[in-house]
Amino acid sequence: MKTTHSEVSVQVDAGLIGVKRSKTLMVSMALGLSLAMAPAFSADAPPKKKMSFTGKPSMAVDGRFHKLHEKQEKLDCADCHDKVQEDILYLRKDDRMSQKLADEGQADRKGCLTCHKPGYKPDGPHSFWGV
Amino acid sequence: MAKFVRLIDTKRCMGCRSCMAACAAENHFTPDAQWNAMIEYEVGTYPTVHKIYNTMNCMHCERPSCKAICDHIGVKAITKNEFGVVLIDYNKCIGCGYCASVCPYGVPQMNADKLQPLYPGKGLNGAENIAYADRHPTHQKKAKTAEKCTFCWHKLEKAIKDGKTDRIGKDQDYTPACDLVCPTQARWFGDLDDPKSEVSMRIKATNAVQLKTHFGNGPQVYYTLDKGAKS
Repeated sequence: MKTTHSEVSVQVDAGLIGVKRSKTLMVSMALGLSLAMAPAFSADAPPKKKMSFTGKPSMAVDGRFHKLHEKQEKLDCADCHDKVQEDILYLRKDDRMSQKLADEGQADRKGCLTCHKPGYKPDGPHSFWGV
Repeated sequence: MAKFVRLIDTKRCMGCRSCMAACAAENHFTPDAQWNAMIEYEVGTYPTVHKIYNTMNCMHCERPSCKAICDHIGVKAITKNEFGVVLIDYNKCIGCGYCASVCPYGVPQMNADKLQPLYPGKGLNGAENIAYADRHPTHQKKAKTAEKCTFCWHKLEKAIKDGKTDRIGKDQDYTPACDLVCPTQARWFGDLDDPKSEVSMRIKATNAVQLKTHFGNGPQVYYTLDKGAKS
């Protein structure tokens, strides 16, 4: 018995749907399992937060960088800008002038490490070099 | 694959700034955007005090935070190539300054609104005489973009093209300008993966260290520290 072209395509489509359904089922099971096991593995990991980045990246006082740290992370200006810089090993002149730091508020990178700690996952949200 | 690193010996450095001058001429600094700086400070207690000279340039980190943030905001202007060199693509840079703000070493410099020669009003200096279009891409600087030390990538690239990577750190054409001119042999450049390279052996022999390791960036510039020197 000959099979027509349209019958073949229906059979192929049905097969594909079957494969897709089984794939969807497997993905759902894997997702459910990983969600169920997540607390067991994340005991030592820092809590991951989804940050909202909007607007053009800018270091301006009212720009995205400062907004993120001030409004979302609830940091006060003085948390970063009110310390006298003790570390002078900075190439950029403005960053190593300790008195200028106090006067004009260059931020000491050491303060960043309060949250952006190294040692966590490279792609995690809390490593200094992984953002 | 070679992994290029620099060694700076603060015991030998006398603070002459030849390295800075060479870099300025080779990479035509623009005002207030130097790629190599000398930091000097005093240590000890009177009468046994002495001065430490610590030159700083880009550390070409293993895990560069400048690249991480640039990628994170989707600009992707900073790359780290297979030889370990971190480069900024001036055509992609949007001048946001994020790289400068996150670098633990204060390396990236932001160009002003208008590019100027190193000595405005006093003619051109060194490589500034090369026509803009004829310059290496790392020297085709742009206003309102970030720039920094490239480990003289134009020279390393030439060595790679010429098949002379074994001459890097030895030949004038293939060695970063700052490392060539040091009169006290306080600077060494070469392949860390080659245990027989001068730089590898000296790093080991002098117990050289990286600066500010607590940031976790894995800098590729090593320092032999004089007594009392900061790290």
